[in-house]
Amino acid sequence: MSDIVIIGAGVIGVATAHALTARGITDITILDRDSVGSGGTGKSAGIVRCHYGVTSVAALALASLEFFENAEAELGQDIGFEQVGYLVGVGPENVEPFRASLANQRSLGVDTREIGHDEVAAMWPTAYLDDFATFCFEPRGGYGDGYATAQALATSLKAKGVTIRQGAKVTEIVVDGDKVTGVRLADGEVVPAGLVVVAAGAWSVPLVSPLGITLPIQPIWVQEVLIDPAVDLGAPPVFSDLVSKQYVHLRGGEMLFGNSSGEGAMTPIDDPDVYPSRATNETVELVVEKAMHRFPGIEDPRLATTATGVIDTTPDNNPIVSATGYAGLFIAAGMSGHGFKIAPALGRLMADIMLDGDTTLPHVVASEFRLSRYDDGEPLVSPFVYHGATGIR
Amino acid sequence: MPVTRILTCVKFVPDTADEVEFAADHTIGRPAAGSMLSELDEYAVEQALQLRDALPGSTVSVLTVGPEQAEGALRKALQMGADEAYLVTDDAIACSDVFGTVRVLTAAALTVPDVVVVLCGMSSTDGEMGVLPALLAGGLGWPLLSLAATLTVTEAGLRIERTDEVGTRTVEATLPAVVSVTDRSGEARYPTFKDVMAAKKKTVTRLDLAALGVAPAEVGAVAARVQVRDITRNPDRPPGRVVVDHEGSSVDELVAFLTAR
Repeated sequence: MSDIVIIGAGVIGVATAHALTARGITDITILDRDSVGSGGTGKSAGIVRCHYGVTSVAALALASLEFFENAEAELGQDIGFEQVGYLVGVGPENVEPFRASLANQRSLGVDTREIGHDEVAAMWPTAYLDDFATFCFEPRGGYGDGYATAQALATSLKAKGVTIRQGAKVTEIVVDGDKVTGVRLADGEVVPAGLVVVAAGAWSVPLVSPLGITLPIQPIWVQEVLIDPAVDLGAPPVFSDLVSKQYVHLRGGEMLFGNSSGEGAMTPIDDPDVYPSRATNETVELVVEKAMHRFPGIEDPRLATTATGVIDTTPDNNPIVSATGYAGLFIAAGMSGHGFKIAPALGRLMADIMLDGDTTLPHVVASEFRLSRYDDGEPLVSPFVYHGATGIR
Repeated sequence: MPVTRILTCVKFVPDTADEVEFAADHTIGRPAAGSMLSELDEYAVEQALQLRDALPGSTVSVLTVGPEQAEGALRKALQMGADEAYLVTDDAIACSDVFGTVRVLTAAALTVPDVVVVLCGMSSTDGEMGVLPALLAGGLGWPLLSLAATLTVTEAGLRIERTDEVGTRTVEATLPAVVSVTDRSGEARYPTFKDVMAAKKKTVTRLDLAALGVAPAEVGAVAARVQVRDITRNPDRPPGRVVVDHEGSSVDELVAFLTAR
């Protein structure tokens, strides 16, 4: 019997196990219906940034950044982190909340500063910048590789004695009264455990619903478009464009575009396993229009391919990291698209909540992530509201 | 120089990367999102665009038969650079077999003016019969240059190279002709931004059976001579075997496994 079972070998599940091992606990079994990083993790755009209005989330992102920077030395494996920097541009309507958020981020220790058009033009000489009012730059940001990160963590966990079982689909969380006792797999096998963490993204919902636990998690279909610029653009920073509501970064010479809000950006779906694997024509046309507006300096760009994935979104666009009404049962799900960039610290937060009921992570208020916050009317939202953007900042 | 049309037949098929859904009548589901221009037809569109460059005064038209959402396949071809598109859509066409589909395509190829070449992919990625180009050539009474790996313009018409296990055959035909191209004919181009934007303004002409002079009784389920009786899914593949190594113990196990194969 393992003391702890974690359902889901995505980046959240393995990060939670990693944090537990850091506290000397290795009697852990991670179960995944498929394989390490096979869900949302493997499809993440992998953007790394600390630009968040919610203090606790910005603090998680900052602590995670330190992990990304040191992971190769700590784990002995390349996790694919490219520290090209992270750039945000906003229009005049957002200058006020933007500056207030930056001040808050800096007070937490985030290395971010407001920069002018000239500096941005030097980073992205192909971009049209006149419709931005101002920018900020995080030199320590960039993008990573969710899949490589999860694999590196999994390898490290195995070396420490953690068991990872792939192709092990959990069909039931087994309880005795109000206490969790283990999980049942599709073939009927029961894996006993004193503590169970549900870290299965949108697939968490049906796992806990038979216990009377309602997770307000909506699977959202997200589309991305990859563009071949046909020229070498170097290694510019990830560009979060809050005027055109898109994000773009270079990956293997191709530009990855995502819509951060508006049509084609976020489509609610019923089943997180059933969605088209390519973007729609409408989304492609929208991205092309936005890209032509923003990057007139790229002479003859071409549409390369498209990719889609699913994110597990909560009503306040922030994760659920929480105990439940069942002793020993915990939830780390509903990442709302932030999962990868905050995963290392979020794993620590989950481990701390499991072992201590609270966390010692600086500037992180554990109770803000509790599941009951929705019923309590205390959603976790940014005090720095950006006009026209979804609540993901 | 008279206008000549290169007509490319394309199909709107379920994305091969997605799970295929079958309806109770054994037809394949083609949701608007999640279906696409058949990848094998992209090669035909590519060859049509290259042929347009080689035939001064020619234009590329794309043609499909299907429900309203099949316009998605035409839009993709227009983004790649085709000039115009035709969508033959009519409730009576539903559940046609390949003969019914060919009846419609034949009529369409004769209705669209000035067609000198009909280009097809080597097969659809859903039905995978690969017989349509030959039946279409038969229907039109035109020569067929099938399974082309290369396609060039000659004085008299077109020349293709067909490569198989035996070797390479060079085959020629006069125009008008039907040509099918393989997936070895050259990678389909990425649409440029300019083409993506231009495609939004290009015309998709809708045709129904009446416009083509085809009687409803000639097509659809009533005319189908081929019927899909049953569909059985392949069983899931058994999980792979994991060999756990204990200080080199896996070597013998792996050798034994490979030897047994």
